[in-house]
Amino acid sequence: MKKLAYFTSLILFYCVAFLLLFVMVFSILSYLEYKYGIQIPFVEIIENRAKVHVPLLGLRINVPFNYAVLIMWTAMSYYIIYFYAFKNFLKVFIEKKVFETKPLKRLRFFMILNLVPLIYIIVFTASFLLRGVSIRLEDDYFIVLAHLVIAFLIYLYLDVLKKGRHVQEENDLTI
Amino acid sequence: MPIIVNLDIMLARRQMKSKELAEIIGITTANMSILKSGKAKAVRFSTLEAICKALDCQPADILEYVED
Repeated sequence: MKKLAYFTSLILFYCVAFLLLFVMVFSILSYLEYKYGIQIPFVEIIENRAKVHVPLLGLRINVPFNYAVLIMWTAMSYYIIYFYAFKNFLKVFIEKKVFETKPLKRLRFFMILNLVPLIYIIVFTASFLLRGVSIRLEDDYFIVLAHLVIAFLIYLYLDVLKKGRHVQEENDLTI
Repeated sequence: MPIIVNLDIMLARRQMKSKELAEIIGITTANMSILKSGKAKAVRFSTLEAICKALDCQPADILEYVED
């Protein structure tokens, strides 16, 4: 079951990485089509934005030609790293020795990654408030909340592992 | 730690090398080094028994309490 979870996360990481890299590359190429009229496959230009068609999945990703695309790329890069860390997080369960520094570091990194969206939401809420624009970020708030719950659970697990490492060290130093 | 391991003294008295003792009592040289340096957190009774048997001594000859 643990191995199944790990291999599922491995496949999930490669799928997500491929999908997001595909969208990132074609969003860059779509700008070439928009600016220079070069025909790019999987790309459709609609006024001042593009639509990237993801084959097999039938997804159509909107690519704006303004600063928002940077936010989109940042979010995509974040989720590539996130799923990579998630894969490593599940790797902890199939390793023979859990109470070691390396799995603990991986867990800490995954926990920090889950806290990153909190910074994003604070910055965006502040920017909306400063501009006096009404906030409509229901979905974003839900995602941040989900990430925070995951971070909290990992924190608890991390604490158990830290205590486990202490016991392991004591055991290793018992001759 | 106020417990001092006097294994070096006993080994010198018995003219035995620590590697030799490690082989007799069945522990690794790394663990023997931990024990000698006083880094060990605990000593199993079975290990203590084996050391005492190999060195023909009492636990008090190996372990000493010194107040901090």
